[in-house]
Amino acid sequence: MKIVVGELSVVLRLGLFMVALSFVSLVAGVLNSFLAAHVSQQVGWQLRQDLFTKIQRFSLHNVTRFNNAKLTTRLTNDVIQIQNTLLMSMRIMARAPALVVGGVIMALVVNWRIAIILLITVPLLFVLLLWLFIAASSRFRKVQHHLDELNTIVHENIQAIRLIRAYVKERSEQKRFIQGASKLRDQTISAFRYVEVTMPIILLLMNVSILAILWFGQAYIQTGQATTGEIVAIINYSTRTAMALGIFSMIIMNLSRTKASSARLFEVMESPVDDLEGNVHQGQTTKLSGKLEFRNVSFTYDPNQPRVLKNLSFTIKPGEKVAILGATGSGKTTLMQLVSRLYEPNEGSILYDDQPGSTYATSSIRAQVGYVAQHVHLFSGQLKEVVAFGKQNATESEIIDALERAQLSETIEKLPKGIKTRIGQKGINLSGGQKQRLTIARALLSDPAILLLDDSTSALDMKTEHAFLRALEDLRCTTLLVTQKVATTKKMDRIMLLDDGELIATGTHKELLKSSTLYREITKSQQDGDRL
Amino acid sequence: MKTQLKAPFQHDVSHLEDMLKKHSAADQPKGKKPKNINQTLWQLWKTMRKERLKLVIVFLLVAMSALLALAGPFIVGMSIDRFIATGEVNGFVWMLGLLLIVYLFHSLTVWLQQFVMIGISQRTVYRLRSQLFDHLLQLPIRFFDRSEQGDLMSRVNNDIENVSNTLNSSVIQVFTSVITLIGIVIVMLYLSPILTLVAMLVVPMMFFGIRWITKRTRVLFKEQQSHLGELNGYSEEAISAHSITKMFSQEDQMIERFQEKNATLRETGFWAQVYSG
Repeated sequence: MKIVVGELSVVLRLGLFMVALSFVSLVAGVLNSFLAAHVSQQVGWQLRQDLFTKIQRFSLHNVTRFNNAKLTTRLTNDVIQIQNTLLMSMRIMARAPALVVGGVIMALVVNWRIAIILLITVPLLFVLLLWLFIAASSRFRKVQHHLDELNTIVHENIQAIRLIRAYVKERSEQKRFIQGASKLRDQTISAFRYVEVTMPIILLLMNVSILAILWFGQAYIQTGQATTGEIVAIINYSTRTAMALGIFSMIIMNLSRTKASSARLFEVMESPVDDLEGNVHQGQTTKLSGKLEFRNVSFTYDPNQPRVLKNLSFTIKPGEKVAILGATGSGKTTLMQLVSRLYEPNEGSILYDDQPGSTYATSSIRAQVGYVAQHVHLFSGQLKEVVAFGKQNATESEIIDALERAQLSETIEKLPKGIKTRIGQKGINLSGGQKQRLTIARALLSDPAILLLDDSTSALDMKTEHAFLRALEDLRCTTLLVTQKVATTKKMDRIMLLDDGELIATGTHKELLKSSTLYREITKSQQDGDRL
Repeated sequence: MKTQLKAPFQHDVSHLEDMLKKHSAADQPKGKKPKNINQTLWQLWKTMRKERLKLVIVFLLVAMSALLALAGPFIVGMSIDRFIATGEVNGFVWMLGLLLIVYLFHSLTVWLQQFVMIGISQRTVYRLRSQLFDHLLQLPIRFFDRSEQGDLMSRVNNDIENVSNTLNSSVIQVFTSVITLIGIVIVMLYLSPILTLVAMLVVPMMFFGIRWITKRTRVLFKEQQSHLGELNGYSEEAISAHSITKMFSQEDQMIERFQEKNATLRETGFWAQVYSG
C-alpha cells in the first residue's frame, strides 16, 4: 500500500481514531480486570463462608461421615477451582461466543451459499464440545476423589507422626502414599488427555471447512455466484471463528473440573444437619441441679454395627462423684458424649432434673455440662484466651481461679508473661499433663453443673491428681470420671463398672470388692503392678 | 445497586502497599526460603530433568506444529492466487489434497505434543509430591509442634495442585512463544531491517513494564498462598476440634474468626488477580 501525499489527512484521521479505539479498549480491559477479580474473589469468599458456616452447624455424625481431610479439601481446593474458572471465564470467555456468532453471521452476509458450510460445522463442534464436557466431568470427579484420598493419607500422617516414628512405620506409609499418588497421577493423565483432544479436533474440523469453502468457492465462481474477494473474506472469518473456538476448548477443560468441584461443594451444602443441631437454642434453658438419669439408653454410631451402649439405666444424685471403670471399647466415651448431647441416644432417654434432654435447648445443656475429652485439643492463642474459649466474657480472676483448681497456677506463675503467654502454634510448648490440666481449667471456667472427665487425669502424677480431686470436692458439681486407676476410684462416692456397653456393677469401692469378681481382678492386677 | 457498582474499586490499596513494603524488607536473603524465582524454577527443573528426552520431543512437535500452522494459510493464499482468482481447474484438487495433509498433520502434532506433555507434567508433579512426603516423614518432630497442620496440608496438596495445573500449559506456551518470536524476528528482518530495529526499541520498555508487574504479582501470589495456607490451617484446626466447639457452643466464634481470615484472603486474591490481569 502506498500513501499518496494528498491523503495524509485521511491517514491522520484514521490514525487518531485507532489511537482512540485502543485507548477505549485499554480502559475496558482494566475495568474488566477489576470487575472480574472482584466478582470471582467475592464469590469464592461467599462460598467459603457458607461452607464453613454449614460445617460448624454439622453434628459430629455429619462430620465423621465426610471426614476431616475431605471437608478441608472442599473448603480450599474446590472453592479455588471454582473461583479460578469464574475469573478466567469473565476475562476471556465472554468474548468467545460473540466472536463465534459474529464471525458466522458476517460470513453469511458476505455470501450465504458458501458460508452455509460454517453453519454446519460450528453447531457440530458445539455438540462435540458439550459431549466432551460431560465425559470429562466424570473423569475429573474421579481425579478429585483420588486427591481426597491422598489428602487423607497426608492428614493422617501429620496427625500421627509420633506414632509413625515410634513404630518405625515410615516405609509402609511411604508405600501407601506412593500408591495413592500414582492413582492420582494416572487418573489426572487420563482426564487431561481426554479434554486435550478438543483443540486438535476443533482445528481439524475448522480447517476442513476452509477446504470445503475453497472447493465450493471455486465451483460458485465458475457459475458466477461468488467472487474471489468474498471467498477470501469468508476464509478470514472462519479462521477467527476457529481461534475463538480454541478458547472454548480451554474453557471446557476448566468447566469440567469446576463441575466436579461444585458437585462436591453442594454435597456438603445439601447434606441435612442432624436434628440435634437444628436449632440449638430452642427449648428450656433452666439452671440444672446436676441430677442425671439414664433410662434404658441404647446407642450405635452406625445402624449396621452392634450397639455401643446396651439398655443402660442408672441415676446420679446432684453433686455425686462417680468413677466409670471399664476396658477399652466398653462405651465410656460414648456415654459421656451422650450426656453432653453431642449425640442423641437411639433408644431410651437421658433425663436432666427428671426432664428428658430433648426438652432442653441443646446449647443450654452443653453450657452446663463441662466436658474434658480424652484427646487434648487446645486452640492456639494467649493462655487466658485458650482457657476462656467457652466463656469469653470471663474475668481474669475467674480464669485464675479455674487455673488454680486445675492445679496449674504454680506452673503459670513461673512463666514470664503469666496468663498472657502464647501457647500452641507459634507459642511455647506445654507438657502433656499441663495441656490436660488446661483443658480441665477450660471446662471448670463455666462453672458446670455436671463435669465429665474422660480419662483426663491420665497424664497427671499421683500427687497432682490427688490435689485436683480434693479441689473438686469444693465444687458442688456432679462429676463423672473415667479412669483406669483403682487408686482414683477409691476416692469417689461411687463406681460404675461398664463392660461391652452394659452396666455390670455399681457401688462403692468396698461394696464392689465384695460383689464384683471383675472389680476384684482389676484391683488385684493393679496391686501386683505396683509391687513390680 | 450503586454501592454494588462501587465495590470493585473500593478494595483497600494501603493493604497492598503494606504488603509490598513488608516483602521488600523480607526479600533480603534469609537463607531458609528460596531466594528468588529462578532458584525455585531451577529446583523444578531438577525434578523434570529425567524427562529431558521427552521435553525435546515436545519442543520438536511444537516447532513442527508452528510450521504447519503457517503452512496452512500459505497454501490457502497460494490456491486463491493460482486457482480461484484465475479460474484455473487443473491441479486444484492436488493443491487441496496437499492442504488436507498439512491440516491433518497440524492437528496430529498439536495432539501429540499435548499427549506427551501431560505425561511429563503429571510424572513431575508425582515426583514432587513423593519427595515432599518423604521429606515430611524425615522432619524432626519439633517441626510438627511448631507448624500448623493445615498449612502443611496446604503445601502438600494445594501448592502442588497449582504446579500440576500450570506446568502443562506453561511449558507448551513458553515453547510456542519462543518459536513464534524467532520466526517473527526472522521474517521482520527479511522484510525490513530498519523497521525491525525501530520495533525492537520497544523491547526494553516492555521488559521493565513486565518486571514492574511480576515484582508485584509474585509478592501478591506468594502472599495469597500464605493466606490460603493460614485459612487452611484454621479450617483444619476447626474441623478436628469440632466436638470442642460444639461442647462449648462456640460455633459463632469459630465462624467469626474464619470470616476475618477469609476476608484477608479475598483482599490479597483481588490484588493478585488485578495485577496479573
